[in-house]
Amino acid sequence: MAKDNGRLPEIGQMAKADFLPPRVKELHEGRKNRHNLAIATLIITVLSVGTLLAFRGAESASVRNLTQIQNDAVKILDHQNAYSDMVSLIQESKDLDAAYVVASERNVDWSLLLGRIQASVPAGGSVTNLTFTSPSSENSPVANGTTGTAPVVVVNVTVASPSMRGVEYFLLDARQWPGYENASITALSQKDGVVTVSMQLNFGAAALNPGQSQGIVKIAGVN
Amino acid sequence: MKAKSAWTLGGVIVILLIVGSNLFFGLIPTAMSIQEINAKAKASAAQNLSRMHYLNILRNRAKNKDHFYVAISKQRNEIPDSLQVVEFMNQLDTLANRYNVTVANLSVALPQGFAVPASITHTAGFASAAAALPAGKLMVAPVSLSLKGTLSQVEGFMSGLKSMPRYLLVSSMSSQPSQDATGKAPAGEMIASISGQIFTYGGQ
Repeated sequence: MAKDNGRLPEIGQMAKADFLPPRVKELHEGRKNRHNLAIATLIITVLSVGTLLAFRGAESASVRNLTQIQNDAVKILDHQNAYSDMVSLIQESKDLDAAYVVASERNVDWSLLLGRIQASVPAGGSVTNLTFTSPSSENSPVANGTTGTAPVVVVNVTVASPSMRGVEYFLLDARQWPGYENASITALSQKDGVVTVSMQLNFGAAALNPGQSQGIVKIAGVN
Repeated sequence: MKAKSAWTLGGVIVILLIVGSNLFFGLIPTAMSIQEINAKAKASAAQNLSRMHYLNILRNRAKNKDHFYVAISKQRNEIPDSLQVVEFMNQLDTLANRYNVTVANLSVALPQGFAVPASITHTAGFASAAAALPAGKLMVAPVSLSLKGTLSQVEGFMSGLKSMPRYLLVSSMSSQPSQDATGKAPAGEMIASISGQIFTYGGQ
């Protein structure tokens, strides 16, 4: 009854009756199904083609962008070629700078060290012998047999002082100098009220003062 | 199987074929190609930026050409392309006159190949310079000389070496009181023996 009630027209509606045989109805449904499939296939095909075209469009845009960038590169290189003399000079400057940095790594500011030594000599005293040693540009520091460390800069100095205290102050001053590592007394003698002391002062890498080329000039906007 | 179901199945298969072939033969290869092109474009754009930066450097250098030539010329004087022993002697002589010391026993050996040593300071600057230095171009020539003067005068001379046009790396100095013909030492006068190295770059 419920099924029949569902087929019943509403009040005021035109009554309809389907008297087609099931075989014909099946044919109709089959045709409708094929129609729907054809439309779905068409929509999918159109969407696929559309998406593909959009992707191809994006690809073309990317290629155009790349071509533009490559053209820009050619233009920039053309401009650079106009400065070929500067290019070779800049390269030469860089090479010379690298050579200077490598060659001057073991540079020591001897005059500064000499000045410090002179300033620390006790009043009334003098420096009688002085020897500085540092590794040459190609050599490595040699380990000290006593301490086992490899001092970078070694200063052997003989100071004549009117008192022992003056020598002590000299050694205390030396502790403040950059790179100071240790000091030893190699000889000490006293004669006629003059104390003569030979000392060895060892300094580490902090005593080095790698030079800066006089040719490196900063130009505005240029690193 | 009913005809309707067969049609439906066939239709779905056709749709899947269309979607699949579009995806695998159209969209994915195109997307990969786009990605590749964009990556290339990005790299090229970055290169262009650094090229532009370099071009600006060149323009600025060109604007200050004279200034730059002076700077390069100073670098060439510090490490010239040949031994230039006469110029070196002249510079030492000028310096000695300025600080009232006497230069004697000057010896300059012929330049030899420079082998970059292990760094002592371990700075990034040294590492990059050592890496950038073309092999076999930097040469080193041992130098020795002796000075006669007071310790203060020797100190002045050593200080003057810092601003001398030719770079001289002093690796040792030994000084002792000087003696005249009678074996006596004039007050305060010393003899300083100096060993060092000068360099050449890019010469034959």
